[in-house]
Amino acid sequence: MSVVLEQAGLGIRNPRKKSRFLPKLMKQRFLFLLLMPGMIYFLVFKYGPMYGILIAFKDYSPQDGVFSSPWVGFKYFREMFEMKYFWTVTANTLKISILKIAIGFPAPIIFALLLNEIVSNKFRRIVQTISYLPHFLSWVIVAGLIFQLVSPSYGVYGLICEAFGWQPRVLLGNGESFLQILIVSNVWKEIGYGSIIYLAAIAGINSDMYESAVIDGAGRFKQCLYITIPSILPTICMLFVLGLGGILDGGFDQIFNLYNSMVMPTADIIDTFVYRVGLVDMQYSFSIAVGIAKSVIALVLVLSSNWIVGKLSNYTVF
Amino acid sequence: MKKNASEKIFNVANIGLMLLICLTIVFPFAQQVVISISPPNESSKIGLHLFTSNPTFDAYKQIFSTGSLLESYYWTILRTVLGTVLTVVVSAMLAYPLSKRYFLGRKMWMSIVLFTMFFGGGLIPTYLLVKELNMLNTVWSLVIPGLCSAYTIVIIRNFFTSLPVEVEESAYMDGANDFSVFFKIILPLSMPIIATVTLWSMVGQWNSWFDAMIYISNGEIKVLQIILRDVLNNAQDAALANVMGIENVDMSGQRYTAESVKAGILLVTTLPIIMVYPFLQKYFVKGIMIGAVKG
Repeated sequence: MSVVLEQAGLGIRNPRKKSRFLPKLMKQRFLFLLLMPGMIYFLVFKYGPMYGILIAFKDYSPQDGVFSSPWVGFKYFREMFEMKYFWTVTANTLKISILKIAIGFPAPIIFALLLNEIVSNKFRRIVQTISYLPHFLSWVIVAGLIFQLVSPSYGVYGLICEAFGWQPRVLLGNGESFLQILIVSNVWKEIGYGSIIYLAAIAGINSDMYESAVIDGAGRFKQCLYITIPSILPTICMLFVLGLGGILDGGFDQIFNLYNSMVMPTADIIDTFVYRVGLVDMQYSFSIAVGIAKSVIALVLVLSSNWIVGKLSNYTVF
Repeated sequence: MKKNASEKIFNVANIGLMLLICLTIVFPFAQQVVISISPPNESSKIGLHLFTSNPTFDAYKQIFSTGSLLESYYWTILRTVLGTVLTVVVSAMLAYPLSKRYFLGRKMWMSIVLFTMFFGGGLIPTYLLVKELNMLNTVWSLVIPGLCSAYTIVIIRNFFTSLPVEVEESAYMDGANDFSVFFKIILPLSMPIIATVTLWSMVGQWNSWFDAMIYISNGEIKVLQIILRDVLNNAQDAALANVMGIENVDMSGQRYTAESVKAGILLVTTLPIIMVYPFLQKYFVKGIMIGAVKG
């Protein structure tokens, strides 16, 4: 056994630890070779861009490059905070995210609980398989389906209006209905896939608990309320904290594929704003400043929500 | 056990609700299928589009008559294969040393990976880096920037950690080195997690469009998602004409319409995914569970 550990570099604790560094390194050289490609990737493509953050503090011009562009300190951050439209997109992002969490977060939980009550295994499996499908589609495809469905002149929406004699509106061109479409399509896309984790948690519950509950006379609703839900609560808390980390995201892919100039005042979010200002208008410094503000706030939000959930339920993710 | 009336009502309502959810998913696709094979007098009009009296495949013939869509199939398949193979191999290789408790500097390497979960450079700096590396307008810009994620690494590493140590130990006794242990013993044992990551990566590559939109500016590499986006959005007619290889979209006298061609393109973009995912179900379910154990 100790030979094996030695071979693998896990020596018995040695007082001359320092001097064993090189032999250890030699023994682990293959492990280092395995590590290298991935580590280089992380350093170049994940940490490399962090260097570009400097651009937010400089008057960047592509000719000068990051290094020789002049420093301007917090000029672009001040500009950002003084810009009215920045606060509009931030408010939009928060509004969309909070609505999405309020409706999109409980939906898979309820779906999983209801699915769990389906008696026929075969029927349940078929429903599950179908419900996963939308998750695997890109928002480009889903947007195509939505354009078709809500079209007043062509889609099912137009047909319904015709049948009831309503005056059809352009649903995607109206702030309020656009928001509703965002939320409904988000639930539609993720309800099945999001339920997988809860179904797994439910499957892991000890069946003895249900048996004793039945003996005590608990019906299915009571079993669900007093056994199933408390048992999956840690999973719910974990996913909630992780979900809060994305509260400033709002769903770039979805909004970018659906929005148009008519709904900009309600549908423009931080990410779409950064994209347009940065890559379309080429205002690199300003858009990076906005991006940094977003990352920092998101980080603070995750850590604080983790802390709050930890206080409330003694369960932390990090 | 006696079933009472309220329980029966609940069961029926529950089954009804599940059927309704499935219907909202199947219905839009059924519509697209019917529209794509409907003759012009039906596909151009408002309607439920769940039935056609006179199916025609002219829209598909037209879509595939030019090389344009086939070429974008080529690019999409190329990026999917390259991206998936590289992602799986590099991620697994990186995760292996990180699963060894005795690995030198393991904590440091792990922190380097984990930190990227919480903070990143963002869109514009990443774009500038890709530009700086001269990867714009190459297929590498679609493959390399999103190669590994901290989440995938953690999941693979957790799987490796859960493997019994004894298997490796006996191989080491036989004089195998870390390389051969990894490729000949660990990887074959890790097929469930490898399959999961492969599926995620494949779907991600197939579906991705934003990178193609920002990194490819000369239009030489057109992936399916971009074609579909162009056709569905804004200057529809020009994009449509381009895909169909015709001068303009005057479709009078044709046996297809803009609607049926759009539906056809949407379906040929979606079909590979619809055909693959049900068979890989058990793998992504397993992957999610492994990820949930220690996220």
